[in-house]
Amino acid sequence: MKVLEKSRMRDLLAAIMAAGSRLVAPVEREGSHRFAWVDSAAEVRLPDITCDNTIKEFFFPRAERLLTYKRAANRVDITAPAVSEAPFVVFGCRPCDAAALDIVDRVFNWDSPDKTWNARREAATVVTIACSRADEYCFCTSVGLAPDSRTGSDVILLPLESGDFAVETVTDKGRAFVEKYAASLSDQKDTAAKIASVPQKADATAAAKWLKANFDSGLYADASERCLGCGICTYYCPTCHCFDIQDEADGLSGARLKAWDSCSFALFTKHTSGHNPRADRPSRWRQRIMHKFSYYPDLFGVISCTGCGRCGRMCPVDLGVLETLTAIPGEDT
Amino acid sequence: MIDTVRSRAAELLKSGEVSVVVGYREGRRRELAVPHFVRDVADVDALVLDPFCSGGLAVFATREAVSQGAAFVATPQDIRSLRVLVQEGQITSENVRIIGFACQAPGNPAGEIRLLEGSRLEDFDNVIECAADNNIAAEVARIMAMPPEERWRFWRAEFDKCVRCYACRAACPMCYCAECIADRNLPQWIETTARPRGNFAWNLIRAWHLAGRCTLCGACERACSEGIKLTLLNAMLAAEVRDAFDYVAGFGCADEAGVFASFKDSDKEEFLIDG
Ligand code: SF4
Ligand code: SF4
Ligand code: SF4
Ligand code: SF4
Repeated sequence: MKVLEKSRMRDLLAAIMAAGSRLVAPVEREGSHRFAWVDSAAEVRLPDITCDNTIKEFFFPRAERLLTYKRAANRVDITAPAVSEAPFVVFGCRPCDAAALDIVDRVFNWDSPDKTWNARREAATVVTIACSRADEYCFCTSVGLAPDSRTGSDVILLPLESGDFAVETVTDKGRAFVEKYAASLSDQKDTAAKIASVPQKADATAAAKWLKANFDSGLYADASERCLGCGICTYYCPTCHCFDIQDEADGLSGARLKAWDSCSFALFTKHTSGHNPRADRPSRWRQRIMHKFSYYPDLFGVISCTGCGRCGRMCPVDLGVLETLTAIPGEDT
Repeated sequence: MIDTVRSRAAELLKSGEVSVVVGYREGRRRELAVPHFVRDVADVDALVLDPFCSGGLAVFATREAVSQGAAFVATPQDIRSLRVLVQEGQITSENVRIIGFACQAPGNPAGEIRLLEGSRLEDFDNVIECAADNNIAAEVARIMAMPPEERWRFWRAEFDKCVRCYACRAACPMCYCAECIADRNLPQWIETTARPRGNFAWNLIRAWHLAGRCTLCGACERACSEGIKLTLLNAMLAAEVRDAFDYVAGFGCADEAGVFASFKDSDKEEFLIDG
């Protein structure tokens, strides 16, 4: 079996960059681990769970130019940036990060395929590291995933006792990757992977049934009482994909942008008339829960949550969707 | 000590003085106690008090369900924030009770905590302690000593990190506007996408709108998902206000109008009249 020795991880990353591929990997910034574009393998620092930010921003940037315009005499010139992406490797994301790509693929290919998302998905090879540790916020096993799920990954690295990683290919793209960088890998006898045990904390599938039957439940008011209504649980969620379209002008020229938006904001659903169908915090929290655990599964056949735990870990008041899931009557395990 | 907090909470609820006690309960991790709303005397035992009760509960004071009569487990900064809210006509001091505490090293497990005397906002006319203020003054001095271009680069790099999650606004007791200027879109005043120009506008406007009002409670910076140095920016404005008007938010009499809502003959006018 192919193995990536711990001591050779940076060689592999250097080889990827030497081959002309761009690289996204975890780095450390002011005490926080972040997925970022890296210029040198020496910058890479692997956290023992996942990073604070998600890898979605490399596929669905927080603000992206859809077109630029310039007003000239009697006409407007519009230029759309070419949709093409040079190959890149995402290294060191976790199964809950990679699985999110597969979830978001569905909505961005629903009625009208999202060209830039798809181009970046095409260009990316996702090399995931299975988890040997989980924290109190992780709950992948409650949403049908696991600390070694393969979904969304092209290659998965399974941590071994020695600190090395067993290399397993998941897709054809992954096979090509392993062949291309074979020189940085070695052959070893099969060793057992050391995978975290993540207790099941809720049953999201059973919860979905309750959600559908209890739209008007008081649960949402109780569950969201301390919620501040910020955008953190959206912007750091790997599966949240809502966006706004904005025109930003510089005199007679400007750009049309697609930028992250959040259902936690009152403005999100405010109509031109002033009416807001989600005028209060509980109804916005319900939307968050329903979208992930009821509407999305109905539409696309998958829960729109990978149990990464960021919505709790990053929340200023330690909330997150898990607390609400476990508060659903009869659904806590 | 926690027993005192719990029994005072129980008394306040039992006597009907308040209908809710806004305090803290244990969170999932040690470093973050979470806000907890106690409405039932039987629930007071959930309340905790430790150096990880970081303050900022005054943010809930303007919520309708709370503004009708609530007690707050409050730090000195929170008490000052509540006093500003009274000044600005957002809450009435009649409806507020305080279970005050001060931690000499917030966030440090060894930080010593003591309870503050008093129950009504008027009882705290002389609450002037503020652990963080001295450290931040040195940081303000360091930034102000930078040449303007360097200072510009410093803030530019800070604001570039902003993702526009508005957690700073959401966590701030003084950001109670029903419609924030950042949400106005007819016309739009501040670009909403997370790009340098809009980020600069947002962060400056947020800070400006808090000049003379911010009590340096630090809730915005603790909430900020990108670790932007918001307290530093707030402290720079607070220092300007103090130097120009000899005014510090939340210290004055709660009935007196705030510094930008009042005029005194002694107010400096160098910006209007030369010299
Ligand atoms: S749950 Fe937390 S992160 Fe999400 S909107 Fe509420 S306060 Fe912000
Ligand atoms: S809802 Fe929370 S746990 Fe689920 S994927 Fe999003 S951030 Fe992760
Ligand atoms: S601006 Fe920040 S420090 Fe000042 S009162 Fe608001 S939350 Fe507190
Ligand atoms: S909390 Fe931080 S990242 Fe979020 S809008 Fe405020 S300054 Fe920006």
